[in-house]
Amino acid sequence: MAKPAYLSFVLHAHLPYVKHPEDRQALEHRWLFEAITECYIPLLQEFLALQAEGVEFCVTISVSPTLASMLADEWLRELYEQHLEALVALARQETERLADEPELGDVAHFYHDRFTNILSFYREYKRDLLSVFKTLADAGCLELITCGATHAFLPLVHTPEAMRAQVAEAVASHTRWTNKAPRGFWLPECGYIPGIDQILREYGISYFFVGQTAFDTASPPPLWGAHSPVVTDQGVAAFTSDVAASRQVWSSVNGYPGDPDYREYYRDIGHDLDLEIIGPYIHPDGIRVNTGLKYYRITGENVEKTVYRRDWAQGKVALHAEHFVSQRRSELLAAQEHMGRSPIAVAAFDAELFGHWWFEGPQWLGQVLRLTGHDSDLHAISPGAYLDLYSDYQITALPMSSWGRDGYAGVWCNETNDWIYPALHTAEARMTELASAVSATPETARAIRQAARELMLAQASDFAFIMDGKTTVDYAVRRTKRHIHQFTMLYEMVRKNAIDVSWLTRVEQADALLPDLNPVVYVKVGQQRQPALARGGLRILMLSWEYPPLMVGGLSRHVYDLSRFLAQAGCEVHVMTTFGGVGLHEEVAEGVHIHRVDVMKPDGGEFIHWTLAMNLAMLDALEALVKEEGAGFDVVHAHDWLVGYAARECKARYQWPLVATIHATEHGRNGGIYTDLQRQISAIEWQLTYDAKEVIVCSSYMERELVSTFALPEQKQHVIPNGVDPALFEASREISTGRAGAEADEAIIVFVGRLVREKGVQTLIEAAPTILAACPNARIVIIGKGPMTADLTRLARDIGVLQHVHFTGFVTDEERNDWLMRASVAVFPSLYEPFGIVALEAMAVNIPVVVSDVGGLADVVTHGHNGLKAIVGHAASLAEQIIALLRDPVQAKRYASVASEELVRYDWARIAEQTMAVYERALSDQEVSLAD
Amino acid sequence: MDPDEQWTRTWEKDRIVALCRDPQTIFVYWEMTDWRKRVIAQHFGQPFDRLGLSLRAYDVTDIYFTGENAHWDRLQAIAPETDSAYMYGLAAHRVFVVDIGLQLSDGHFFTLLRSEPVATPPQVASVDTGAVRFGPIGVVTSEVAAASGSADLRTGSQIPYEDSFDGYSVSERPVN
Repeated sequence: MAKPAYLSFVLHAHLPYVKHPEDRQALEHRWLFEAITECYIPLLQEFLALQAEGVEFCVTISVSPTLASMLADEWLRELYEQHLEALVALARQETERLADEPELGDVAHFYHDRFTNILSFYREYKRDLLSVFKTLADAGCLELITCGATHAFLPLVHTPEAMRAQVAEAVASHTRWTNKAPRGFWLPECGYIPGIDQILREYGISYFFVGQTAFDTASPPPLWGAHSPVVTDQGVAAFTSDVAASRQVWSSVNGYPGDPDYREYYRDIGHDLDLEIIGPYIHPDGIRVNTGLKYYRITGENVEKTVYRRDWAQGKVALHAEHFVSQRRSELLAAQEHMGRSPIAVAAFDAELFGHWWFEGPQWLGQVLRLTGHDSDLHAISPGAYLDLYSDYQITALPMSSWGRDGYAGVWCNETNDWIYPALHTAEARMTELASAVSATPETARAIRQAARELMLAQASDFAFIMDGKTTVDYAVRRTKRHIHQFTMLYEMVRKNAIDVSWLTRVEQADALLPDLNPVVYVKVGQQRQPALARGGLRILMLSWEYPPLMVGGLSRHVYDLSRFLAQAGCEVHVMTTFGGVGLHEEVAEGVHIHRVDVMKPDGGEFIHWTLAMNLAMLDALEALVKEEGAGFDVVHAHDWLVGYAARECKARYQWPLVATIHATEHGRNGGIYTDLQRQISAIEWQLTYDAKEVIVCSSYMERELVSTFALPEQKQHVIPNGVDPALFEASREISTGRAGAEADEAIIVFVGRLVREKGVQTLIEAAPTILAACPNARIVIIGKGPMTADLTRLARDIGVLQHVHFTGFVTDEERNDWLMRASVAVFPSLYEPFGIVALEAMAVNIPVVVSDVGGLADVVTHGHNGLKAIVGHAASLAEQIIALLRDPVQAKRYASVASEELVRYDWARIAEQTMAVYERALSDQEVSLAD
Repeated sequence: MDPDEQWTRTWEKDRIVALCRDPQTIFVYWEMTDWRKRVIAQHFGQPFDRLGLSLRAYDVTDIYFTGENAHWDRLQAIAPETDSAYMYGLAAHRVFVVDIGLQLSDGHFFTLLRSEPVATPPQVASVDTGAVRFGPIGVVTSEVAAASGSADLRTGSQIPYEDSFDGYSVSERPVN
């Protein structure tokens, strides 16, 4: 064989963080102590021996940051030394107790020697096992890689920030203790979800490991299976374990560890001996524990266990090592033939398998490495070194997967443990909130850092795993609850700026991992820290269902002009509105912050339910604005019933004073309430006026209407007229200079508005015969569209005036202005009109107006001063007033110029000022709203 | 109470979260604030607890989901007093969103909360026969979608009930 094949051992060394300074006897300390005594030190001793023998080898070990934290912890180091001393004492006591029993006595002596040796090793390296790992890594015998900061199962982490934090802190912690950035990353439980690769790449990781499921379902399928890494399109390599190799080592049934000559794990003297003998070496409360002294060999199933023979076990170690190497050699040779490059077999295991579950595992591993060290065909290599062999690898997409029992997330997400996720995910989002805040004091900064540690500890996959496994469940439950509780305490302390420093100090001492943790990693990428409310003016939240570019009714334009003029006057204005399929969801335009929400469908299939969906969407967006960006408002200004629910909730939830503008009422529009829908809308209108501290209406007519319809007191109401589109003033200036006058042969009577009943166009058509009789050159132009178009056309035809009536349908603003410029008179014959902005627009371009004496139109026009009024719904009266203007153009022009001069009342700058006075009133404490 | 025993399932949040458990199963949990419940109860004129809640999963793979154009959807009743559920038997290798909402008496569904998209992984070997490509380590060869899935959730809503809505209310007689 020209080129060798490769074997890569990857050991994942991890324990959850189990430090309990409050209880030296905590059983969970033994998890760490057993692993050190049985796995970590024996493995390190084996590696040192290989190095001393001059064997060329490289083993990859991921040391999880929680394990590294514990191995570095002075308090735990000391406690472990005491534990080990007691163990030596127990073994000595056992040699004495068993002095008369040759077989068992031999085993006891074996343990005594072994523990004594481990103790002296521990002391020789000054209790610092991490330094031994590091020394071996520096010599090229180990490739040290890292793992999730606290071993969170990443596919079930919710926010990208929390996922990133698990990677970032792991890399930082690893780099700190090894002085070297890790090339590889052990995904906890091999839990992979697309997107993790991108985060790994950002942190300089070259490779990670996935479960077999990922390779089995990758797209396109990996050409060479597990015998080569693949690369994701993020440029990060992924290896998977060689199934056959793993099974031989993993399986307690078919694998090597089940051999009858190997040591039996389940017969420990901690359980077997009488309390008088073992009492001092188990938990003071008499709880039986494993001591590590186990005297029997596996022997066989359903037979009496016989005493462990070390020499027999060592014989099997040699056999099994040879078997493993020859199996790999033939498997890899076969692969090499079709690959055309050197194959690799990754054998990845939990490190704790070696020595703890499989007592002889470390010796077996050493033996395999001795064999490959002298083998010309099969070399032990690290994944990182393998990646250096070739310049490219197959690109494939890896799906979500793990090395759990189903290949997915089932172990960590089932009925035993799924209850943890709502709390974990809440804490993740809150952590981003904390990290994004500017920490005012060193204590706050400490609290935020500790909050991140508590979150990370709660995220440890170990706890969900233990709950699933149904052993020591109580501990896992308590730990999860404790960390979430401590996180929540810290969160509240930071938010209320009330840090309990002595409590914080205790928590810091107990949960003392990741000393240099940097919470900034939890800040959303790209999130700008903008002091949201820096302007110092009134902070106004506008609620309006429509806002440009969405324009259906007149509300959109109104809120647009009011908002931008308020912004000009120094207010900070945020408009919450709907996204109408055009424009941006978020923007700042003309100084106004606009938030356009999506309204979700299905919406119940009815318009009225749609309004609920819209209000819910607005409230969600608002909550996000408050929570994530720290927004707050001085006043909420709601426009019309459509935003009634949201307005009400703003007041209740955030205690912001509410101002409402009522542009119309359902009662007024329909001349009464006749249907369930109208009743429901009317009820929301009433609720809105009731909840509002101040109510703005656009005319004295509307003020009276609210008094009569809702019994709304006048002192709560403020009449502020609507403004005129400033663009019209511009147009007016141009027109007054450039206008040539109306064409002599035609007198145009123009109507502008929606073609709905309340606009009264039918009255105008009914008046047409009279007008035409008096002024045969008259022509009626109806500008606008609406549901009554057909009815109105029919009416004109029926009374024989259709040829004198022109329906324009929808027109642009420019076309509208064109028509207005050519008109002799503009007519607004409304039956119901809260304000009548179009009349002002006609006035702005110097056209004389005739309006019906109703609603806001009645406020706008003073009869015989700036226009003429007709009786509401009265065709003869309307005809009379129109004819009067047509017959006396000089008088008509005088009305028009008075009207134009007086339009300053409708200047938006002035209206904004009046509106701000209402806001101030809403804010003042003296004015107690009757609604409160 | 001992802090180690304290626990709450309510976090004053309005949310529904869907997590993929395996190719056929999504775990869903949800929470609604009292505020939201109150608005909804007020609107429908009934105590919130009497409004029957359902889950509804939508297959939104590769579409711009408007709420009305899912490839497939399924309703699943919610047991009283629960705040989480598993949705079993879903299709592998698809992207889903899950709504919690109301099944109205006239048969319409009203969405109360919607989850982020969640992708189920494939269950069987890919039949991808596309070109085998090789690439180096450390070089991005294409942009990938976000971790949680790739559906675009903007509703693309236009003007609501455009035929009858005039900006204030709807006309209740048919529009010509």
